[in-house]
Amino acid sequence: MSAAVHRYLLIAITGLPLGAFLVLAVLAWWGRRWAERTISTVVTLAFGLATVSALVLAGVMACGGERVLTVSAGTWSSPGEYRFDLLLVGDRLSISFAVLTALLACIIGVFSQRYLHREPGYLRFYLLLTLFGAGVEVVALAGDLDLLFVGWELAGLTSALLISFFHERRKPVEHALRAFLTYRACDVGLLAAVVWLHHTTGTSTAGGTAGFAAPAATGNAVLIGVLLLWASMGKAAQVPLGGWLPRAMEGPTPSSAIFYGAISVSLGPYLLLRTESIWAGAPAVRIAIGVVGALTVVHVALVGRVQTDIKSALAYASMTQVGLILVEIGLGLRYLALAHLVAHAGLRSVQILRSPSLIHDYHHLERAMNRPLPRTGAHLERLVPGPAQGWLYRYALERGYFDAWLRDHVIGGFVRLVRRADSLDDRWAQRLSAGRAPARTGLADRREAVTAGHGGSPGTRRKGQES
Amino acid sequence: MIALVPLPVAILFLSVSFVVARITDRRAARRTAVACATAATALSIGLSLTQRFAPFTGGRIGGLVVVAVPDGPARHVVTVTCVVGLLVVAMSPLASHPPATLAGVLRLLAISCGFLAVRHGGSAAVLWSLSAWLVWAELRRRDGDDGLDRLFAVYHVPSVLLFCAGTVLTATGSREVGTVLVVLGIVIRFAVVPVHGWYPRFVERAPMGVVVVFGAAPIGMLTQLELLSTRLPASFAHEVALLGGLTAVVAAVFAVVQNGARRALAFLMMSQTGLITFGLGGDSPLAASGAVLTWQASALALSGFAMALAALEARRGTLSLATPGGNFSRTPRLAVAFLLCGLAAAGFPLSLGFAGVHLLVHSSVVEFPLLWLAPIGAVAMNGMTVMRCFLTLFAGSRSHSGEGDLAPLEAYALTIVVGTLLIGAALPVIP
Repeated sequence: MSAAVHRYLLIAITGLPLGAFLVLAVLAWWGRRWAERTISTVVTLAFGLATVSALVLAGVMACGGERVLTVSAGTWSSPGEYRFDLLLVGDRLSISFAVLTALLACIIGVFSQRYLHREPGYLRFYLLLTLFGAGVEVVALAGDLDLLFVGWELAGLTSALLISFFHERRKPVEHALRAFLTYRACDVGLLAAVVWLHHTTGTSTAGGTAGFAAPAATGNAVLIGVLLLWASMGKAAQVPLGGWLPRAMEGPTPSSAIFYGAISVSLGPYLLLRTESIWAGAPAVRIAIGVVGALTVVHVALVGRVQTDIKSALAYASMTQVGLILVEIGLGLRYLALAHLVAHAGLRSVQILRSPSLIHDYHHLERAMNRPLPRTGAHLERLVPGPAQGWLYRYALERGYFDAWLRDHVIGGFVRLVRRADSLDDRWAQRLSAGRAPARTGLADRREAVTAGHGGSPGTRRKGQES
Repeated sequence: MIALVPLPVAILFLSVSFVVARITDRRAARRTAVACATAATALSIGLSLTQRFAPFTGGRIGGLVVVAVPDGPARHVVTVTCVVGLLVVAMSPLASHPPATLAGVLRLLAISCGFLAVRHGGSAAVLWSLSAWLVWAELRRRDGDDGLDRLFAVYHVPSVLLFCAGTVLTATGSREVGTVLVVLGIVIRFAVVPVHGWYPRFVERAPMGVVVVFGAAPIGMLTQLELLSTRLPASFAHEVALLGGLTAVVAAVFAVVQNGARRALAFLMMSQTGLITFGLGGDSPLAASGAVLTWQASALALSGFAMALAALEARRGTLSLATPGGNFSRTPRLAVAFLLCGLAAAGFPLSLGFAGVHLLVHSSVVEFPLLWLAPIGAVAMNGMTVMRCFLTLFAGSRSHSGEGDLAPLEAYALTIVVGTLLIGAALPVIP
């Protein structure tokens, strides 16, 4: 098969979902209403074709003995010496992840046709699913870390927007904000790593089978590795930043399945696998990855045991497995980690998709067994000494005190300090305004609108609204 | 230098401003202003395109070079200014933007275009003073007895004096001292920390249209770019960059904790200005390109963000960020435009802002080994602020006050801005 066909197949994996998103988004902006079936067909078709493209490409590469396929889709910008290349790389790692993403997105698209039937946000869901899929495919196939960052950000944004899918309730909105803040704080690590890599090696582009160039100095490799670990901790919900994940289950079940059971939480380990060539020569980074993964495993294994709803329990189960994958990456078990990642994504998605039918499934199982299901965890009661059981139970209920620590001491203290400084700043401005009485509510744009909203005449109100 | 394309645009804005000032009906005044801004935008694009097919070779008038369009970083500034003007006049709430205020907005736009038309130290000083005086007069005209006009004057009189004194000194031979004074004048107007005290209150209390047009005027950016890149020692330019980086981070931190939507917007705008100042102080052409591109993206995106906020405020009243209290389904297109503009301002991928911020960040690591994390941190926190504003203002509540989605004029202007931001991301034109 010619190089041109390879090129089109690789571009199609990211281009098809992105194209579907653009078509739906532009028509939605202009107020065009499509039937539910049309929307879901466009999306599932795009992901279906992307899956076929990825599978065909994988088959062709396997038959031809090609290990790496690099395709340039052009240069986005090149001011001076700096270049931003739209480079896509297909290898065993990236194609596997691309197939997994496209296939799961296609399945979720089909599943959601009925699950979200007549849901007011039907189009919104499919738009965000498509953008997420496109973003993840960019992350999977990016041959340039700058480009990877683009997909990374898109995945984070769509994740937060889908958590707040049921936007009329306050809790999903607050949880979406929490997830986005965590993502954004960790994205600093990825961008800083890309910039520092570019600075130390002159490029952030993958070259052939060797992957990304590693900095010559070990110190730089350690710094970049730690920054990449920090970036992956946010998406992978690792300790102590993982508090957002159980809360993220407020979104619709299909999105929870693909985001927090499968793809989104796997982006963290995937980033570390993708960039292994950069930090492989720095043992300190390996140790750090392993320690973070191990701590997460221990913590969430405990906390997960006291969860009383199935989606939270599954969220903690996801975090446990992702933690284990990080341990495997830390130990250098690259292919085991990839196999674990793919298997976990598939299994967990199915579990989450089945979770709304849990009670039905339990009844079915109990009828088949002709007795109640046995209680789990009895072995722990035998193994753990009595006094420690109470402490551990409290620890698990309080989610390891991480949330309270972050809220009250880290974020809370910082916010109080900044607000105090802001108050002083405002007082200074008030003094310079000749000390006249502050009139915070007398703002120009608000005045008439407030009147309109509180008993103003219909005419006044319309005038405000048409503004 | 005299540029021919911005000249008719400036004249158009100025002449229509007098017409608008005489119209008593607010809707008619706004329609006239929108028509004027549309014509100005079309004129700026049309004349620039004409120049491509029938190039004007240039000439000289009294020692001044005459060109068709401003060159270098200022090439697209006139079009950006016109689009910002179109957005502002189309989305200004009628209640807070009577014809006199709209006329003031058009005059500020005329000043911005006039600055691009005649690039000369003396004219820059005059236009600088005029724009400050116009805003001060608008603040005086308001019936709010909150001392905002006084606060504005406390900061802007020194700013104008420093700018003018610097211009005179530069013209009389004391180039370095003069340039330092001019830059200090610009720094006050850019609300760089610690001389930012006027800005949060100005954004909180002044009509949003005036805030946006005054903030988006390219005078400070282009003057500073010229001065820092040509006349100043690198050490002073680096100190200016340091102040810019500090402002970007401090303002971003302040923005993310605010409970008032307008105050959050003020710090968000300050943070963006800090980023631009940071880039302008850099030595490399990459930093300057990043700064100018960030200015273009910020001018469009922050204008869209601010005017969407003003439109929502006009529909709903006082906006608080303390708890989520909006309903997305009532205003879906306004919400989407608000989010897209905000994310573009925060340098989110697939928007024009990403191109500018990306260049800024990459150039900073070479020039400022100790400060290169500042723009990254500022950009990350600005994204948090935008998302917090979006989620708290457009989600979290079943109830609503019956507010409607975008009116046709608003949809028209926002479509142009959002389209420009997205198309600009796909095909970035690096200055």
